[in-house]
Amino acid sequence: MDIYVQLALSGLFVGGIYALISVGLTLVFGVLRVVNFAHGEYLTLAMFLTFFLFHQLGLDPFVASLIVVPILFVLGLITERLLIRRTLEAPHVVQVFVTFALSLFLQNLFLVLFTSDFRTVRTDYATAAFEIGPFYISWLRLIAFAASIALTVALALFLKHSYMGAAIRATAQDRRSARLVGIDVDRIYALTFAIGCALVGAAAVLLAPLYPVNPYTGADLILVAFVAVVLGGMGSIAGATLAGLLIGVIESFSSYFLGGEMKQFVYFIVFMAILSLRPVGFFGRKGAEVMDVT
Amino acid sequence: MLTVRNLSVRFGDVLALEDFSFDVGPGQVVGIVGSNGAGKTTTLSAISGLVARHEGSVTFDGEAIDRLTAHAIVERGLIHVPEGRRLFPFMTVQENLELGAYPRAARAKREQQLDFVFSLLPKLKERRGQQAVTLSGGEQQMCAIGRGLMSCPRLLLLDEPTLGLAPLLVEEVFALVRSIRETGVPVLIVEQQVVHALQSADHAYVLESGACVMRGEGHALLANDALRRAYLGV
Amino acid sequence: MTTATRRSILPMLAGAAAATSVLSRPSFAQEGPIKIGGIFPLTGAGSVFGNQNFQGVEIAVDLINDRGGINGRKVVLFKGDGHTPQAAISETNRLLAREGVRIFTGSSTSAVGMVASQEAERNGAFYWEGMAVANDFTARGFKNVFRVGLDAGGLGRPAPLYVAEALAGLLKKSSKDIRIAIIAEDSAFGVDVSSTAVAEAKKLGIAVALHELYSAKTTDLSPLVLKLRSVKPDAIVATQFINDAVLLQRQMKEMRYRPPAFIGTSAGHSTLSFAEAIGDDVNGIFSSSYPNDANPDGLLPETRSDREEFLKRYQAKYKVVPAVQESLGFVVGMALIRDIIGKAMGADTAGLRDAALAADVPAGSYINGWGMKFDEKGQNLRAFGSMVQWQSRRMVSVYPAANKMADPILVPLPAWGAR
Repeated sequence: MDIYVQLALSGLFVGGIYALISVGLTLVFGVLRVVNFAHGEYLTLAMFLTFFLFHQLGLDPFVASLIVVPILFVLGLITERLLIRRTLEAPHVVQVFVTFALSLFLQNLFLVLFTSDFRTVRTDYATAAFEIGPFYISWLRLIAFAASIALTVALALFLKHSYMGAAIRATAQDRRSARLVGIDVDRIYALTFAIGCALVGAAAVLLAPLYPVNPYTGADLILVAFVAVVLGGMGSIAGATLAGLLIGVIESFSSYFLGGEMKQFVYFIVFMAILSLRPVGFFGRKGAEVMDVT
Repeated sequence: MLTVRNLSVRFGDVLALEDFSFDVGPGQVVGIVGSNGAGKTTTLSAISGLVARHEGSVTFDGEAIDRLTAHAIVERGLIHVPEGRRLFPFMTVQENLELGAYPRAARAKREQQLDFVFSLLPKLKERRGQQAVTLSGGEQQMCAIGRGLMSCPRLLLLDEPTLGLAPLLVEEVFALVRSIRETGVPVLIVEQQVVHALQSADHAYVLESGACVMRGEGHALLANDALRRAYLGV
Repeated sequence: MTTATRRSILPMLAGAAAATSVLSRPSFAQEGPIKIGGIFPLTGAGSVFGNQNFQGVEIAVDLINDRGGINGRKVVLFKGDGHTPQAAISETNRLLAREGVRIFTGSSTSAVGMVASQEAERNGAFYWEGMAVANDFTARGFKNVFRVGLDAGGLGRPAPLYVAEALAGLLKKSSKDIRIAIIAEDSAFGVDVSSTAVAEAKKLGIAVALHELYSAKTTDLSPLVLKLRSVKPDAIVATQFINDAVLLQRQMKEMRYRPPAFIGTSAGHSTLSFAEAIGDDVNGIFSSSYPNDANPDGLLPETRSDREEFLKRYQAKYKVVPAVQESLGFVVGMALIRDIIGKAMGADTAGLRDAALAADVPAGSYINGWGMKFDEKGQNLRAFGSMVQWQSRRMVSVYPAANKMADPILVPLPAWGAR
């Protein structure tokens, strides 16, 4: 019995970070209708930033978050302004090319700037853990999980209860009507893209002490986020969160009971099974991807 | 109050609207009628800033609003209720209405305006917690107009508010238009329901293939033989 | 991948066209410098090892040139950046066509080595491999492709051997009672190396309590740690890359699990970034590896001076102490240039092949203790793996005897934080 609980805990902890990465991606898709293939590279960038702040200035990753998250927010604003905005009216295939090209460009930029070495943020508390009964719980992983969930909940509350949040949801549901109630839709796009980047920045800060970074780290992790976004229902934050946690738990159990090389196989099986029963994902809406062509 | 002069709109090579001039005065209901594709929606979209490129001039309260963005035009109290309701489908009725109060000026009066809309449209109050997508067509239309009223409009543009509604509901919509006028808010209404529109309108314009072919007082046009033949089949 | 494809197609076409024209010329100028093409991943994912290998080869070239070259001819080393297999193909063709290179060396990763050697063979050039370990490398029936370095077995065998010959005793067990867990990442590297380790363990009568593969891209190895904890092996034998190697150590520490001994493998555990990532907890960890350093007593006298030259030159040029991959590069270069090109009757491909097949260089002739004698498939039989141990955050050779620089310490492993 103990082993099940321990596996579920490990899975949930990792799943929390998957959820945080996925939430930014699904939010950007839901509002801008753009799949940002470079989302993973923003994660990599933020992890490198955290690493260099730690290494050069001795800043603890949690302190560094006060710098990294705002920087990612501003980078999001700039990217939206210079690149994404120009593609919003373009066919989907153009958007895919643009964000995919951005992803490759950033990967290669990181290679030139940082080489392909793995960089590790080594804090004193990296492996601190405590025991509850028969369970071992890593402080860092617990904190990463709690912070991920807290940020996701905060985002949901912001969207639900603030004027700005309502404007973001309105833009997602109907761009044209949003304009007609006086929402500056261009500003909402910029803000949403920036929030997506800031969230992935927060995920990076939480990941950095746990996991080494090199130019491909984000690209490796983002696959899970794409699965979570589709599984949860494109554009659904609750869905992405749930799917992120679920994937974490599935990975954990399948690597224990079936072997580590099986875990991707298992969650893709689950992914296909769920989508064949419910093609729009957990909280997706039928036709949501074409809901508001203007 | 709203002065439109020589308005022309081009989509690519297609001239959707040509040289259209009209006015809406304080307290007036002005109708624009015509068949599908006549340029009615294009006219409203050009005024509210949804169609950015056009020729001619649009003046609202003495200010040229041609070059303003859609949201800046909303801030000035010129509110466009779009064709096909276009509510935010996965928000509740109340959330839809509250978003109507998004313009800065309207935010302060949100609660007061909400009471006003609910008193005018008591059905919406019953349905306030329901998702917009679950409403009937008539309720959706009421909600869309209610959302427009939430913005504290100084001029309301209604685009085909009766589209797809049962005759009884059509009556209801025009009754609502009249009560809005009684509160002192002028209304520019675009309609295919020619009879109703002309009955309610102080002034009306008939568009055909992007050009204004007739203009006059609502009742006078209703009596016009050419119009009756073209639109009423008599 | 996609960039690489896109980037490579044009030069590839150009290269292929040019290559045909070069081949029709009379082969191999006897005048002018001897040209060697080095195909290594110099940018991108494999570039750490690629650059280290290349730098080692370069030091060998410099040393030989400073000693007067080969029969009075200078040696020139051309760089080919094989950052992906596609790039390796186009770079090999570029050097063939544009520079007239007929001798190649590489490659740091099996994926790159496999295709670069194939291109060389196809064009009748000579190919000399250092670090790629894939077992299939020498199983393709190629005539002019030789591997002076290890195959996967060379990296996989030392761990069980060391457990049987040394660790069992230190753990106060007989090799019949000892149980090991063999874990590996699931690419060809991990699969090939770990399966030879399993086979070797069975041959030695060591019980393999767990043989488990996982993806190196994973973010959570705690299920594996739980499994290891329940299996309770006397030693863990792991074939990992750097990020998953670090992750496993951290998660074992988090979950307060500590095996009596831990033996890693070359790629993940014999690099400084591994030590940087886990600090003093690295001390006591073994790694099955290319020989890091040879015991000078076991080297031939002229090899000892090579070793000093190498250490001096490398540190002068790069300001760091060379580690495993740099010295491997140096060995690869010395063996190729001094002992093959220098001994070949004609410097054409056939002559080089004959020289390679005839080579009989005794152990201790290279700075890592290796010698050179090829089997008919082109695998060097006098290359062997060794065991290093992290001691005071430095890698020290502990096995086999020829390479042994110090006795093993910290067996069984002390608690985390007490190493």
